[in-house]
Amino acid sequence: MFGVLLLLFGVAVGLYAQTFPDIPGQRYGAAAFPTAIAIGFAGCGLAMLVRGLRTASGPLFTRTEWTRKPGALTSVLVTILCVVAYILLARRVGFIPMAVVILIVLFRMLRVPWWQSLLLAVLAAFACDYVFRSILLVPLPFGLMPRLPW
Amino acid sequence: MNAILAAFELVFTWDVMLTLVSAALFGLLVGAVPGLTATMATALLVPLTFFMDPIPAVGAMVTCAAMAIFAGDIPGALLRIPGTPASAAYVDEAYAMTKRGEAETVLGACVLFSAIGGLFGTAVLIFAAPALAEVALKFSSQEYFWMALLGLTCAAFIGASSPVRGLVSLLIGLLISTVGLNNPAGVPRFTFGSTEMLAGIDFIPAMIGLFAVSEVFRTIAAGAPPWDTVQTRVGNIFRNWGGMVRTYWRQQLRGNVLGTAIGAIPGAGADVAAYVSYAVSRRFSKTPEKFGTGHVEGIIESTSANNSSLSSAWVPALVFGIPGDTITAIVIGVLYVKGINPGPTLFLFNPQTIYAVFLIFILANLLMIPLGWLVIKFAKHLLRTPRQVLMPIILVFCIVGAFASNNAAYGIILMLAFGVLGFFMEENQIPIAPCILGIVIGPILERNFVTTMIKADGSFIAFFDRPIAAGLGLFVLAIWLSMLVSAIRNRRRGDLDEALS
Amino acid sequence: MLRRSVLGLTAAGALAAVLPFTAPAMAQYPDRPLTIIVPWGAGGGTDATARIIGSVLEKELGQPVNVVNRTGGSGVVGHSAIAEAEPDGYTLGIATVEIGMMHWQGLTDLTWENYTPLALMNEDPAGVQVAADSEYDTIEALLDAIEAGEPSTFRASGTGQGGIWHLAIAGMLNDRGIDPAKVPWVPSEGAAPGLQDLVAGGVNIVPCSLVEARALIDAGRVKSLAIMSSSRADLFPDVPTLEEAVGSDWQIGAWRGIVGPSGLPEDVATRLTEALEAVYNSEEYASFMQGQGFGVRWAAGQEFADFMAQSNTALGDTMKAVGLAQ
Repeated sequence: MFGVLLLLFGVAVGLYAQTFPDIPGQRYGAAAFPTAIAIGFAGCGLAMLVRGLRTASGPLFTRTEWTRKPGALTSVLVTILCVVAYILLARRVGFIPMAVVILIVLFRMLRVPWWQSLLLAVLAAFACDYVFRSILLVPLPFGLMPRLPW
Repeated sequence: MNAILAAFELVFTWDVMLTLVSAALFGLLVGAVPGLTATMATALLVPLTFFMDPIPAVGAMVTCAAMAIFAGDIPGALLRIPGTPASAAYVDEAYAMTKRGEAETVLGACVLFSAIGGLFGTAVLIFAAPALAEVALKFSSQEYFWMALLGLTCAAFIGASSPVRGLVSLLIGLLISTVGLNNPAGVPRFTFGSTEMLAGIDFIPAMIGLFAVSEVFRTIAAGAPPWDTVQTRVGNIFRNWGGMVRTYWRQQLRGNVLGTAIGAIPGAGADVAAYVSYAVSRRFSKTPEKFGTGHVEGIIESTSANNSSLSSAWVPALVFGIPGDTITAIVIGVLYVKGINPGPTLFLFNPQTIYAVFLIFILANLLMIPLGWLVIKFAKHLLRTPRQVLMPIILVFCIVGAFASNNAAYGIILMLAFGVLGFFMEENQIPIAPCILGIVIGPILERNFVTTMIKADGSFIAFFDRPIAAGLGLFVLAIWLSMLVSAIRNRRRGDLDEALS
Repeated sequence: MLRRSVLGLTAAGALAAVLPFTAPAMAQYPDRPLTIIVPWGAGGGTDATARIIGSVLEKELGQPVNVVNRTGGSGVVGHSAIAEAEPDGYTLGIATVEIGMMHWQGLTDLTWENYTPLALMNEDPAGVQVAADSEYDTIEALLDAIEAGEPSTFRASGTGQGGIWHLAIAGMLNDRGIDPAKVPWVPSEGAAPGLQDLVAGGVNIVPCSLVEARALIDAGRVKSLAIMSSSRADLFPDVPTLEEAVGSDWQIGAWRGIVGPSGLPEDVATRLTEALEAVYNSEEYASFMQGQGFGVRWAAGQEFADFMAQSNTALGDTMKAVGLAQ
């Protein structure tokens, strides 16, 4: 099944690559390399397909033991949502508040006690801000936060 | 001789020593943080060097870069998050050792062989720079094409437990490398109209996503169980060294030679050196089946290689002013400002300066051992921290690291996307390391293929009509042929499925 | 860490208590750190220029100046980031010659008009470099050979397809009435790999700036035949200008200047231009640029705007003439 997916993907990439313009007067331009990759994908897809047909076909995506545990996928989803929230809000809210909120949410999800969660989240956010902004000069967004004196 | 004495006087002063140690600590910090590279560490030092004398200025940058490359091994071994791309090749192996409770052994090996590798590269730089630079200058696009293909062939070895899945991973990496405007034709590809995508996919956020974020997802999904094993306390990381050097001196030497050779060619850096060495180590190992399960052999070879390549990248830089990688590009600029113009004349007119630079190389690599020891002592406490505390903090670090790679939210988006991709790849037993290699080598391969074709008007003979290119080409073809032959032999024995699965 | 934070907070409190009485001019620009966006990677010439400007500007303005790289997309990403920044004078950028090229190729809608011009800081004219063992010793001989020879006898490299040095040679040939397609362009990742390929024998001509070729010229591996500028370079006074050698008035160069997003308040722009002038005239800037071998050129305000407009038209004309514009 995974083989079919790869095969289709390869064909799609290959077709899309044919729309890239050429370098004037040259035989190999922008499309050559993606086309080669597409052929590679299709080839791998075929190889897996052949093997899949010969042996008993497996499930579309293999799922390891833990994914069947209740709540496992939910926690991954929450983690992803945290990062999405950061991407959307960090500029307006600022690095430190966002980091504190994300840390508290994740700590709680992993059952760290409340008081520890709060303390660690604040500490970690400030430490991170200090190291990156002050020592390594990364322009982390300020947002709502007042400018820190260091 | 007088020049050498003068060089000693230039280097062994309090302020030079102080500068070196501070630069070393700074390099360790930057290298250990995923998302911040050795290049970035060096660039951050540039404004500071304006106010320094030439020798401490160059010394600070050299030391900082060497430390950063070594320090990339630390989060790689402890958390499976390579600090710099040069550590990505053997991160799985190092992490497997940590999981077995041998964190101190593997980090001890990293610091020791990084230092030895750096010293070896320096020795080559001192004694063979002009001769080696001559060879490096003969490389045109044909030679680079074969080099890149050789690097890709290595990916097959890295994912050797399942060639097809390794190949899929490699192809994913290659496809990712085509995104953006950065291609020989200068046309946007797979950007879907986005300005940010024109920049292509930076492999730093991609690497953070594939390795670190996917690991965070996996641990969190499992409810962050505590570490399976207790770290066996080696206590003294120096104790195993004698044994490792005795057992693996061949691997170490091979890593050094390979790293030096790759580093001396402009444009191929520490990351490529590490991948190739790891693959070579696996190919020629007496116990290839142990690779990937936490076996120190491949780590020794590739950590030797990435640090020796860092030293030998200076060969073309000092002799011809051609930067071997981005780090040397920055330092060349600073050298000019300080009146130390790179070129053959540097060796003639300014011998005390060049000797002083060599001395600093040696010092930097020696400093790595005590400072590295300190950092390891400190860093292994990370493993005592409960994972439900550690993982969220790592996620925040990843976000900041991905942001720092290009100072834009785009980096974080990439990181997240690759985190999910990495998660699915691992769940389907597709190895990650070949993917990173594809992202690194893809552009080199494509660029040199297309430029060769432009030069030769589309004739494939061009790939063999220069002596070095022909040699490299035949070598690559021979490797492929031998792989094909062994595959057919396996098929005769009827275990093709096993070879493919 | 905690102690550090507590200390910091205490210090902030103390500062807050004192400041209102001592610093009534708090609201005066600039009262917080500035950022300079660099559209090119760490380690390149633009990055180095921005960093030296930043460190001197810091002293002039009394506020930290962060230099931030926003790379990729042949400069499109960084130039967009500068244009899209808040026009408050706290985010500036270093614009490069590519701002007059990208929009002709249809990569972006941005032009020089999307910025508030502050100060032109540097210009490096293109040169014509060949390998030291090349049989051509003058630009005239080289041009004659190109004109007389078959197409593709000569190949040139030194930047990406449609990059500034590609335009330099295409424009030069066009100006001499030679079809630019006779010298195919071999794209490269910048001048250094192009020069390396020149020495390795992969290409015949690298029309990059003399600064970039400096080390290899000094090493006796490369020779420069001409410079596409109105006057000779201080670095290599023996290299003739194109006008002196063959009477062509074709001139082109890579330039760098500090700009802000469009709509910068006038007083802020004035303050910045003054500060940048002080940077330009400072000892540090002069010695740094001289050390690196970079050319310096000053133009501010309207003069800089006119310069960009002129550069834009000239580049556009060339790109249309050689078929690189869309």
